[in-house]
Amino acid sequence: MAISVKQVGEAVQGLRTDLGAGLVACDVWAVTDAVSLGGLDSNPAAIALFNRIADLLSNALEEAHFPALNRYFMLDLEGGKMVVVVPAGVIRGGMLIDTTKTPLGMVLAVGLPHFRAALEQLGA
Amino acid sequence: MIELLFQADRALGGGALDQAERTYQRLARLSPTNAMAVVGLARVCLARGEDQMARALADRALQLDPDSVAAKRVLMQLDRPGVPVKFERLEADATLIAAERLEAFSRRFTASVDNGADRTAMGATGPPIEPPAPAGRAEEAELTAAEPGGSRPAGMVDTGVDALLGIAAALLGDSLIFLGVARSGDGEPVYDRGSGAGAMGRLATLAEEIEGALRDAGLPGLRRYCAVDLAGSASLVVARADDNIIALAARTEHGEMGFLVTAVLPILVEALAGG
Repeated sequence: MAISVKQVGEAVQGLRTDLGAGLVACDVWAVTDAVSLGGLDSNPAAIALFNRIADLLSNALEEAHFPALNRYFMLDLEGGKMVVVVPAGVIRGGMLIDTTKTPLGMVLAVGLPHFRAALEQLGA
Repeated sequence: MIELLFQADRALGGGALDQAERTYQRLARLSPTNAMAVVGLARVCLARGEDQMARALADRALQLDPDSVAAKRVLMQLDRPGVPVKFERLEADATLIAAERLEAFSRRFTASVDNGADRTAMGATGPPIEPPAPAGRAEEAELTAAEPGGSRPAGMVDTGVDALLGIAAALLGDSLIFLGVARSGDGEPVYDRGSGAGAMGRLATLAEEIEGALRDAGLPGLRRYCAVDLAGSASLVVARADDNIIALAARTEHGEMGFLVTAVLPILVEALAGG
């Protein structure tokens, strides 16, 4: 897997521009080993956790005979925080958002599509 | 089951009527009481101009699920053939279906107040809701009959399920694919409509797994929901509502995830929690 660190940085920077102060942290990591390829306020423990949750989710969908996880999943957390995880082939991206500073609509309509497009280019 | 329904709906939406028909038929064979499969066949016939067969199938679907908005919509289109299908959601008739449901809920609410129950109305435009039976009153929670197209072994009063299903159907129409409720803690399914395969139990377990993982990592717990974008232009939302976990899946072909989590989900959670 050859991932451009520069492109990871651009994806993160793009998300920062889209979400402004509402973006608390962001990471891009490899699915297989949950190692960060770059991010903002990178947190290895959080990467491991959200990589695991993505796997739990995929397994549950399969076992419940639901369609597979597609573009993203979101966790609405206590304390006005939200986690969004974006699968993109061999990599995944995740963001921690302060929903008191950035509305959900901005995340879904602006930040997420841009970030996902950037990740898909990386993971392709 | 749900995967098949998605496949069939996608085929129908794309105009592949033969493929849609085969898939709905397969679904109907696997789950003979599944009203959604029968409605799907009715929609295929409608698209082919086989009105008589479409009507018979829609009637059959209503026998299986008297609340099926999709079946009522097929009949509506047969009765008003000049109305373009793509505008059906905007028709007054669709609003009337929702209004009928809300009126029915209001009647139930009035009855519960008359019986001395403590209920909270949802507001001037929303229906008052009958909450689930409190723990320890199993005799009230026992249901006399399973709902067509869904299963409610125990744990929720009849009117609570009806209200929840009715609200979801009124808000989402035939975009609604799956609705389930389970007790949190043991994940015991209380209601499972649309999966035909006991999906709710697994989704309840998922919610517990996610909360456990967050707790293990010392992070804040789930405030309200986990929302998942699914393959096939659909979305799944799993949320906590007091002592229950609710799961809702809907077709979201135009990116309506925001609508699901900010408009539909809070109403359902409030309804399930009893206001």
